[in-house]
Amino acid sequence: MSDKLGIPPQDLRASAGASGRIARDLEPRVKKAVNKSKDAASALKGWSFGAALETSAEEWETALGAMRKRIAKSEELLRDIADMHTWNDHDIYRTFSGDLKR
Amino acid sequence: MSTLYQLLLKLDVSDLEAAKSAWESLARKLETAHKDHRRHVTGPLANWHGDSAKAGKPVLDTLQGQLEAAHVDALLIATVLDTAAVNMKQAQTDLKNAIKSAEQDDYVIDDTTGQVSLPQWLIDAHHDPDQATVLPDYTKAMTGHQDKINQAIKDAKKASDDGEKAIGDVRAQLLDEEDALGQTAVEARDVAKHLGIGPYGIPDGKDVKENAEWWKHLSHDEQQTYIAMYPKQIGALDGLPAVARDEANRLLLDQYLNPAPPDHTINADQFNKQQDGLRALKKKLDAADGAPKGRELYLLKLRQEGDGRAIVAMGNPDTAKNTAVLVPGVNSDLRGAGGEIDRINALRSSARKIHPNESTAVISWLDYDPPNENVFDSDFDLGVVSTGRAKEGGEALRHFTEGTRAAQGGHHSNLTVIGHSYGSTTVGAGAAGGHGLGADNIIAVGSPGMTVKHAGDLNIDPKHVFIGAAKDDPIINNFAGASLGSDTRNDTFGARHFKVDTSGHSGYWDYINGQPSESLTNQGRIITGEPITTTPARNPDRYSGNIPNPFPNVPQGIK
Repeated sequence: MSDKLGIPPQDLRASAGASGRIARDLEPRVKKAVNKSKDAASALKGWSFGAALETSAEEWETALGAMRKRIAKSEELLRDIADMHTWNDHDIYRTFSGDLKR
Repeated sequence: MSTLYQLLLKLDVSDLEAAKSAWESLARKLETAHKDHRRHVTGPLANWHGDSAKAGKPVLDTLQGQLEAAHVDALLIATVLDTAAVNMKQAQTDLKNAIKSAEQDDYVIDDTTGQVSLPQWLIDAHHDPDQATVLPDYTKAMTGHQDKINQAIKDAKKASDDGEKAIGDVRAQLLDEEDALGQTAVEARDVAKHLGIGPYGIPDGKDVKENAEWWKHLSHDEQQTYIAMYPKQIGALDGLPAVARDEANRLLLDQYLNPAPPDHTINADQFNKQQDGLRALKKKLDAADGAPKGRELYLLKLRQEGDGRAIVAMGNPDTAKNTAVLVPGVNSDLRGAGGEIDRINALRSSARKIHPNESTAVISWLDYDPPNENVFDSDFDLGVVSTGRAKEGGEALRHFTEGTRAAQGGHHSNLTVIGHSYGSTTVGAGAAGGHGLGADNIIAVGSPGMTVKHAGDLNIDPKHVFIGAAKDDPIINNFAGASLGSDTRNDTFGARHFKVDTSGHSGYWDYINGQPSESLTNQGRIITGEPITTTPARNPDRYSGNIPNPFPNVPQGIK
């Protein structure tokens, strides 16, 4: 990994934080929408639309859940990059101010 | 197993309505999530470099596109649920009315099948000689009742089948696809087709006040649905708020960049040229995602046809104290969007330097087809010395400034319209037509003419018409006073002339030694209503041609 980030690690952490909030905020609304679709599908049992709605709800539950996970994972990776950069920087600082100084 | 008759009678659409509300609520959350991702995740990472950025940025961009695609799809699902609920409920109401009507006439209806039978008293009276007399009428009426019941069941079945097809159009798998956003345009079209709905209700766009009123009276969810299903129409409606137009046009831009299916009406070169222009615009918009308030960009119109057209605002023109509109000249197309945005940034910065506490929005207006001429080419075309395109563009410009006023509502922004080069010809044509541009100030820089003889012909007090002309501007020196109107430099034109310290035809927004030039500062002063530094108007004598002609290829006689 190049150590030339171009931006301060705290900016990466801020973006990571925003990603995490987005992923967390979506969860209850996704759950509610999917559950309400399933309720409507049950109420429409016997109609062609009911069965299609059930399938749609299940597929969207999977797809939106996977998208949320990808966003949450991006939070993790952005934090990792920021931490690794900070750790490298700190390590180099210690080397310069410690071993090489003596 | 219940029959459709029984199912329709006991149908309760409250669950469908609740599901519709839940998907609308999710759509609002996805809308916020998408905006937050742009402003707080990818926006601040514009300068992120290195190997991790090379791998990470495209992934984050894809996630952002998926959030937008999911937002559109959530609205489409809500639309399917709503349409099915309304149509099935209507069918149920029709069925109940048909039953009530039949029962009032004593007909008997089978609880399972909905089959209508003759009144019991009529059957019991089979020995009565009068029965034969009334029987034909009762039988005929019975058929009518039966038809109404059957029609209601048929309508309900159609609503259900339409819903089945439409909900299948909104594919969850799309979120895993690269061109998810392009696919949303196809989905929206298919959903509309299967539900039998269209862009009904969207005004024809001609009356900007009507456009503004129409939008104002829609609920947020209705507005969002229109944007998701008809971004091209909504994004082009003058009079609508900048925020709404921006949302629609950004969706349209993403759909244009991910065409599905590919556009076969143009050849590969044309397609690549269009895509280059769209990508240049997208890059500039993305780079401003993390911009502070006042420097954020709004995409107010987008067209990919031909050389492409775009209107981009820096700062919100609906609420800014000062608003300026910059109209570019020849050879402007979407591929040059970056340069135009740099110019509106320079104009805004200049205005802000003069009045740091006043909000100023500046708009780059490329919603006409400027001549594509290179005057240095040997195959020079006389199209550039005709007012035809300026007049066509001027009308669109006038409509746009009317729309800007309508979107501002009661708030009257100090409006300045600036035309550069052939853009000043377009500004002149727009101002001279109809009731003018409704601007507080008009500026022409590098102008070959404004289609009129006098500034007083521009439907504005000539004291508020300002001319900037560099001494060595070759376009002015070769074309002013020829076929595009009188020479704006002359005192006979009747405008005010501000001091210009820049060089050439395209230097009016330059910085000199790191500081805004006087040419630029004077435009900032006009935008904010401050006094300018002036320069005397020219003697009306035409340029005599003592300077060597820099356009040897221009046919003689057009100067």
